[in-house]
Amino acid sequence: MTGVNAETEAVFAELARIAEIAAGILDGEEVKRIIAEQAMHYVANPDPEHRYLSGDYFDADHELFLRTKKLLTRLERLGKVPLNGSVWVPIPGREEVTVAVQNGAYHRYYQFGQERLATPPEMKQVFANGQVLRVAPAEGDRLATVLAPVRDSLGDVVAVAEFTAPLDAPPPAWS
Amino acid sequence: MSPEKGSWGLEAGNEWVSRGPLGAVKPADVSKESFSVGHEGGVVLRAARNGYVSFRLWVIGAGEYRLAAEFPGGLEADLFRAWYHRMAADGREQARAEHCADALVLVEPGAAASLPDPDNAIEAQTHQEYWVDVFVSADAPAGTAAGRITLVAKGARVELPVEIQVLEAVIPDEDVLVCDHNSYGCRWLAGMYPSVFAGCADEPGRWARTIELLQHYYRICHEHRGLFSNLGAGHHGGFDPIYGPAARGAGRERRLEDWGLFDRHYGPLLDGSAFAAAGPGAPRPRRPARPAWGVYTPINADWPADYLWWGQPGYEVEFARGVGQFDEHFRRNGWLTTRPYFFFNHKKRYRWFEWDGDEPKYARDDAYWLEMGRLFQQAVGDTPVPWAFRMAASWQMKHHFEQLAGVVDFWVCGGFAGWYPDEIRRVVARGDVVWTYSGTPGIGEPSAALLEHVWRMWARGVSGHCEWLTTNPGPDPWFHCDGAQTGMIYPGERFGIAGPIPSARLKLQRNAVQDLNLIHARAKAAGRLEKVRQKLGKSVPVSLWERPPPIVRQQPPELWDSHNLSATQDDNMARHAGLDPLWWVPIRRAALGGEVSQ
Repeated sequence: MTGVNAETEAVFAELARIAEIAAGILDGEEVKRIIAEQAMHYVANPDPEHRYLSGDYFDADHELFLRTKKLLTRLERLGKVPLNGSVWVPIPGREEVTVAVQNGAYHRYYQFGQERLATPPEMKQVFANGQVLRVAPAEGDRLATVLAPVRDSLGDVVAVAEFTAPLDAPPPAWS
Repeated sequence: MSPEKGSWGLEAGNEWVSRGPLGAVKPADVSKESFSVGHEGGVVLRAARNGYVSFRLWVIGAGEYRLAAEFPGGLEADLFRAWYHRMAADGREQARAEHCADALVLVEPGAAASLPDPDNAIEAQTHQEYWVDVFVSADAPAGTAAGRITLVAKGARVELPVEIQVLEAVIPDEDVLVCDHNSYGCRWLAGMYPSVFAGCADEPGRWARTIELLQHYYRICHEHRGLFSNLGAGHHGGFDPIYGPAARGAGRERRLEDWGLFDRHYGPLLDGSAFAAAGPGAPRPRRPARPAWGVYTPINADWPADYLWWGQPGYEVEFARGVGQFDEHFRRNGWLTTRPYFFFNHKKRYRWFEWDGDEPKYARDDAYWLEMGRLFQQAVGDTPVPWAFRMAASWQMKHHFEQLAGVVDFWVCGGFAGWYPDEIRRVVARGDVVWTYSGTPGIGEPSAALLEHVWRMWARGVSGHCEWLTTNPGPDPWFHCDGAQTGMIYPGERFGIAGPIPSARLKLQRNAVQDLNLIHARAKAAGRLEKVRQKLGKSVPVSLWERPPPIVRQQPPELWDSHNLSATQDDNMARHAGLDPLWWVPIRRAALGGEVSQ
């Protein structure tokens, strides 16, 4: 990781430590059922004539959502740097992912109101090889991100956890 | 054809009809009716006291000129130069005009101006629109007051006599309606006011300037008989330190600390002192300096209690301590007039929380609302602080009116409110506050279109209307205007004003509130309020209530969507009835009562 100073490297190292723990304790069986089936149907099948439909029908399993959110919160607090976590799940039948649950304002990928995101290459990599991955910072990047695989009971990677920390800027209060 | 240099004219018209920079009436303001403010070469208007009477003025000519207004004691005139917003391609098509006037810049006495206005950069501009506000003080003598507008240019002097027939009627200070101007956070200010923040790198200095700017927004709304509302907490629950103290410690040690920025921000709003001073580029305050009607607080699902402990004893303890200390801070400071809101804005579709705090759609989320209500009541008890449990009610409003009775007491209802006349009457009757919410018609629409909201709230018997965003007129409202549906308050930065400036829409709204204040006060004094409301409601062509579509009658809200309702929430927000541009005239006449002969 050339061109990364020691301070940035320290942030990455901390994120990687958290991501390794997350990979071990997040339960893919629960994560993949957070978004309600009907809600995921509308996320996966957007209607160009009625673009708010998936928002209209968005719903989550209260218990699974809350349990994962609390776990993300605990993971964040293990960190020695401020960071936030989110969990991304694949959208069935599409080369896209959507957020199942998130915390706080530090995010690399999430744009306010976003329902679908073309799976970024680094996430594809995590889905494919099941390894924790540091996202190489781009020039001028103000965020550091490490991704972790989330496995189900069969060992399949069914979600990706994102841990993102600021490098030099406070988060916007309004996201 | 351009006027010859040295040939000048002044023309006046009513407040609801704007004209473009070449003199043509704004296409959306072309009316089948007429309402002249002119009489034998001058302007004649009637006005109640303790309020404004307004008209539009056009300077016609070419070259440099100066404009001045003179009025006798008890009356003060403010001249505002209108900005002609160059419409972006989409907006131009909708507006059927290249330029629309809206933003208003106060004219300093003696200031020179030019036609064409080099700043506005409209080739061959022949007309410059002004908005004229004449303030008639509460103690101005009733009778005729003669003033004039004078234009002085090289070798020319044009006078427009203005006669104000001051009525005995006094507009009450207290507004019968709250026109609420909503906004979110404060980070947008740095981009809108680069000069204000230039050279200020230290954090305390930036927060001080942010607070100062926000207070100017509160002022401009207050002066226009409205309310500014600025929500600090984001959907994730975080907020900047000007919106609340820090919550430190956990569980039984949870405490709120560092109130400095909060007090600096909110103290002057809660004791009313903020409203004793004018904002930059604004006339002196004419409204009483009183505490704001209500303010958002930073309380949310993740503050002051840590959501990590939701559903567990620690959440209840932290909530009781944090909200209790918040309440105690208000009591200790004597802030007992403004309503602090207990309010949730998060939506589950944004994935920070598993339940809807804004526009809840699923009845199974009710458990969260009931629990929050219980915790809240437990935290504040019988406090003298006039808290309001505010809910943005939407899909489930009919159900929630009953299910959350005694929990929520401040309902801000979306477009679906139109389906529930009886239910809303019952909620109002039990003493809850009911408002509605929507978007704002853009500047290409008829100038009077936004008054539909004002009328509808009074005619429905609700007491407020929240326009969901009024401080963001778009990335370039000046030369590439998208219609400014989310911004009837503009940044004054490009005019060298370190604060917000008003618009014609804001002033039209204020004048409409004045009218309804008068109608309401007179009808109430005569014991005929509901009769007058019904009678006027039938005569004004604004639909108040409507039959819900079949899906609403047949299925629960969980199964409604923007497809089977045939409209999205946003469609409802933007909709207006396409009324004649002069549709408000009968209401103005009613407001000025039997004293009006026109």
